[in-house]
Amino acid sequence: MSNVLSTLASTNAFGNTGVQTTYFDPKEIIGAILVPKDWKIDSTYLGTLGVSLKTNLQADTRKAIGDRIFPIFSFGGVTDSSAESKYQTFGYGSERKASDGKYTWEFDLMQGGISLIKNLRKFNSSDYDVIFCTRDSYMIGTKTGTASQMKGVSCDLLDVKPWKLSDGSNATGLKIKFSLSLAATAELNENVEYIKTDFDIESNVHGLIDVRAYETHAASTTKMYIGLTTNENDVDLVALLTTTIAKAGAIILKNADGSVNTPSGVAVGATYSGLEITGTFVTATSMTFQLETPTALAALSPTIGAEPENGIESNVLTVAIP
Amino acid sequence: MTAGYIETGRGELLISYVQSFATAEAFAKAHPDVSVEVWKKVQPKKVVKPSEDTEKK
Repeated sequence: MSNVLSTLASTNAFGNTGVQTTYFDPKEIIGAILVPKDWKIDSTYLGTLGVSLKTNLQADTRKAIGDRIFPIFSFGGVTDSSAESKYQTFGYGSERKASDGKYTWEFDLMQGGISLIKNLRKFNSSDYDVIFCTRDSYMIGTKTGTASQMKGVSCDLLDVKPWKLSDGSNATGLKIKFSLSLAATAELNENVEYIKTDFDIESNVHGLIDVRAYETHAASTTKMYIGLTTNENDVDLVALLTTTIAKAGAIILKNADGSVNTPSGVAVGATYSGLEITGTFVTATSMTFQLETPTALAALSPTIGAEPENGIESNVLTVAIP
Repeated sequence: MTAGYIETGRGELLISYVQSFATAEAFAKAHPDVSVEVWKKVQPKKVVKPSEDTEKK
């Protein structure tokens, strides 16, 4: 049918009702993956028989912001505050549905402390879609409008509440709330799309761990001393990884004007802990140090932050050259 | 190993930087914790020109 002004497009108002012995019956949601609006899974992403799905999901957790996906797991329970559908009752007693109820789910987070809350709160009211993951390894999303594609469900509000004190009877006060959009009701029903994975999503798709870069000793015009520890546990990555991380390919060093500075040496510090970086640094300037991108680190040999480990990402450290 | 660098056992050194040391002693003085074998490894191979006598033969 051609498009005609003021004529509604209509579809046949029926659906077959046969039920098979196995069917999609969503179990407990144990996690979610926050995905950019334009993120989607298609046949290329899946690969033949879905063989590429796991590696593509893992790679996406390490991509630059804008393309990165953010897995959140360890949901321990849910409070379903979804609104009921609204009905209008007419004078003679007949009913018509006025609107569907809107989904609002609040999950308890069993793992993750203040650091996770701090990072998740950056998503409050942000513009990310959500893929929900169930206990039985289903990923639940919605259709994109193009065949064989799945995208995240649209979310009006993602809210991570401020932490609450434990009173001795409760172990955690971490909660994450998804208030899904009006469109999400259809997205999760008529237009639902899902993938049954052949791997455990929670144990295979990890979020990045923040790494803190700091100076262990004042820099000079030829030396820089940089410590690298995980943000929350203070694991010394240089002591842990030694020559795996003490290499030029694992760091990005920039001059004050933003140009890349190629160091003449990167080594495990002999005098001071952390990395000892040798090079030519311009006096009375401020340089910057950071770890390479999570993707580049995972591509090193040996790898840093590739599965089964979490990827890592450091802050950008300003180093004053005297 | 990063392209353009050589492993030292403690990390990496830029090959062109190591080659900038004229002698093994100078390198050892600047990098006492690195084996001079690192310096030796990156020295350009000497090209031996055949002598005129050799060419005549």
